[in-house]
Amino acid sequence: MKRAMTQVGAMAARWGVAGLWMSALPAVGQTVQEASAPQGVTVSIYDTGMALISEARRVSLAAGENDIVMRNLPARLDPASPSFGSSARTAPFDLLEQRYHYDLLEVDGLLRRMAGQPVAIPVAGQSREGILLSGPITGATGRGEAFLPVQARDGRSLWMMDAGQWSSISFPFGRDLIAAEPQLHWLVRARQEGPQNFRLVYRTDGMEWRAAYELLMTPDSAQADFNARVEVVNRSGGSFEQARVRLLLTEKGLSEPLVPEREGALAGRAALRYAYGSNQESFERSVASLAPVEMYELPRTVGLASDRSTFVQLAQSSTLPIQRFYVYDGVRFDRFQRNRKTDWNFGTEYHSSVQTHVEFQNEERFGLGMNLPPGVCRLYTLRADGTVDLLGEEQLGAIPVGGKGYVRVGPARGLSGERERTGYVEVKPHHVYEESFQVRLANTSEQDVEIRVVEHLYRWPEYQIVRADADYTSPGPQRIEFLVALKPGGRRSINYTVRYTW
Amino acid sequence: MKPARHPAACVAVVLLTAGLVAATSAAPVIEAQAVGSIMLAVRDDGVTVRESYRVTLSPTSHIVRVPGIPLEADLSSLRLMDRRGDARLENWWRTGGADRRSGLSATVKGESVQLTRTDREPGRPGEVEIQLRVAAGGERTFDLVYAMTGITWKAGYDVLLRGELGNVTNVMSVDVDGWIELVNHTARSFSNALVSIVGEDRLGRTTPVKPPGFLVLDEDSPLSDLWLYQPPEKGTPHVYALPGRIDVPAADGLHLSHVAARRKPVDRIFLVRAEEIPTDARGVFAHPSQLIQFNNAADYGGGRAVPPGSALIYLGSQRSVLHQRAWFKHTPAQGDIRMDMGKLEGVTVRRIDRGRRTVPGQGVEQTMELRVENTLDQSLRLIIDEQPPINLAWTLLRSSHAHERTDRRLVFQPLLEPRSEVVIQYTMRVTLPGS
Repeated sequence: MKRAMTQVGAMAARWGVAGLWMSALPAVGQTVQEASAPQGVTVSIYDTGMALISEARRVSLAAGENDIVMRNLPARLDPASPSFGSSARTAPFDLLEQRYHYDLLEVDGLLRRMAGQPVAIPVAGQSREGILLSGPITGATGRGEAFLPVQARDGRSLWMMDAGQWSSISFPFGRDLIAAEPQLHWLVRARQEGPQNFRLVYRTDGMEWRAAYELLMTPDSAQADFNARVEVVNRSGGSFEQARVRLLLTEKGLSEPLVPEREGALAGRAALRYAYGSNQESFERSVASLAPVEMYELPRTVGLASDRSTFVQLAQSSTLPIQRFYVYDGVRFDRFQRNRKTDWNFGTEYHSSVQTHVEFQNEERFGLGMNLPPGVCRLYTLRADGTVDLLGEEQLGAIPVGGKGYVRVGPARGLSGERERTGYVEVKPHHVYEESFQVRLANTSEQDVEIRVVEHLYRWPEYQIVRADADYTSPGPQRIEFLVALKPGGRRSINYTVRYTW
Repeated sequence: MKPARHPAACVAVVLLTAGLVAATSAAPVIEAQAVGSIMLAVRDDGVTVRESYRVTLSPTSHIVRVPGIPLEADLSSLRLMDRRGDARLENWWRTGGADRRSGLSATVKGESVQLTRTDREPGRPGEVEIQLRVAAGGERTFDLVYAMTGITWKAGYDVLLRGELGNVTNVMSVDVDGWIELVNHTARSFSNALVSIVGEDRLGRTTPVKPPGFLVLDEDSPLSDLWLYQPPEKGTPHVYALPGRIDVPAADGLHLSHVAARRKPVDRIFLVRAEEIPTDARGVFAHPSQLIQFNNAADYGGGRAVPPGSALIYLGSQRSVLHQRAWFKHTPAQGDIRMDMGKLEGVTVRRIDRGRRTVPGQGVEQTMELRVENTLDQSLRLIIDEQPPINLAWTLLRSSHAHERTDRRLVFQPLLEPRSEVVIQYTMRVTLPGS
């Protein structure tokens, strides 16, 4: 080390900058020990964009104080997070001090640190060599441009280089001054001499995951080809070889959608709730816990290269039984919402599309049988000529083992509905109201169908169906459902009257 | 009691594991060759691509480099369709610098460090590598299916209407040219492709975005007169297979002719809908619409369904007048295409409410009257698509004219003699809830 510094000092003297060099990584221990590359890596990726890394390392230590350096780390490692664990009964060493070095994350900060150093900047095919006098300085024009002041080697000229325009820059004596790869330095006190195994645990940003599903259906078939996959995005600035990957759903991640994107007066209004012990409500996102609600482990180890999205197949079934059913839920609310309870016109608008839904079961006998995380499900159809056509996409909720998945395919061809309000009476104003509806269904397709007609009794929870010309069930609060069978070319209407009391 | 493990054995296990890891990560990458035709299903918001590849494999796991998958492809949609059925897609990723985000790289030479700005490097499209697991090796062909953006389509029609529109008895005909425009915004060309276009009939509407206005108030406010915006319901998509194989060039568009009809005879229809007819005892009236109708027969769409698209309608054989822009809906084979040519000024229709009366023991009866006046010198048949303007349940008791009933609508088709008036009267029994 001493010899290398002498050489650098001699070269620096030739540039006329004797005494300006400095050391970026001063030695803090008695000896510097290089820890092994990571092995047995486990990456736990949270739905909030961070990940917890646990990896096995090995290092040979002398008794007493040692300086350990660890490489192969991500650039976006949280310097406050590293810790270690050991399978041994007693810890192999005591951690006294730790520092994280990586200089390539922030260009301006690095240039400021290199002030006073010899520098060479290629400009128009020539290399301008001199001393970097400072980091970028803002110009006086107020237009936001910045300059790098470089004093020429002869000491007579001063160049103001445009700090935004350079594409490469060389520091002739910068090797020991710049941490060009992430390094974690630990000062430790070892109890005994010899090799030590330990597990390094740290947090990094820049990792995400999202699940995606593909359901390929063949018309009229009762089976579908189902694929479940996960996209793992690694922008942490590091690579992880053969890693066990765990995907975590947290309350904090799940609370994100509670802050919806809105326009106008409601823009940016976040959900609030009370934290225990607090008299003031807080933003839900900040109060929510990071504790995992659900964890999904990828079925095999995966290599996660830096700056790359890796897609991993979770499960696949080419013969997944599916059941199609049709739903007509005709009411739509657009206008007339000033007073939902008593507005004469409320709930009189409707749409006409009958929706096709698909239901499947997450069971091992069908080739699935693992907990499936929430994600986007794309629906495709395979046509007779082999073309695959995207029907649409739908958000699929988490499906536990043994649970059912429901996907809305889209409007059913040849099926339509109408919903007309045929009567409205204030039996006792502000206390008892009656409302009558006619739901009409038409089937112009060439197949027998059964349509689930869903009616919402939206005015008030206290209601009574006083007349209905078809059987119905009540699968949920303020909801009734009729089941209507239609032959090809068939039409059918349902009439019912509901009485609200309050 | 657990047997003690020798330290050398642990080291051997670690070395062996490291060796296996190194062997997997250093597995040779096999290049796949694109073979066969490409299938494109183009929607208005993207395209689904299916293409075939051939590769020679040995058993177990392989990394296969697949050329040509554009940057616009959504890799989360990648699907492998193996004809033998034993190949499984395990992992996949895109190589190259397309995802690159970090801004600086360092090169060390001796004592010197050169810093290079990587964010100045042009983006490279990269290639997709897939990790396959197969039960048996050998040459095999598989298909990859993926969704992507970057290819769009639209249809357009150019219509020339021959004849005299103002004379209701004049025989008319149309010339129609229909084009499908395919635009490929990607840097990838698709040669020899089987193309089908998929779209729902939006009636020429683009997806509306409701601008914030004074009615957008806090939804919790009891004073809010809130009009909740809901996007229009999605329609049922239709599929149109384009004939033959097509070369879709990169970053370019092409027009394909799909309709070329000359002097095709048309029908003339005069129609008025209930929603247009005011109910008033005074002289407020509506004019019927004049519709031109022709059939999507073999001489029009070649026996296939034709897609929806905008239409320019010209009048006169010299195309001297651009009469209007219109929208042609999706039309199945043998279906009818209707063009609304505007109001027929010489005919008026009005509705008069003749009042309700209570019939003892039989509820309430209500009578409506439709008065149709023809001031033209020619006779014509008018279609009146009537819906009684009553928001209660009703049953029809009697009508002065024959009609067809569908649900709650009554269709009358009176013949209007020159300079005459027709009066249609019908009576309903109205049912009140709870009665």
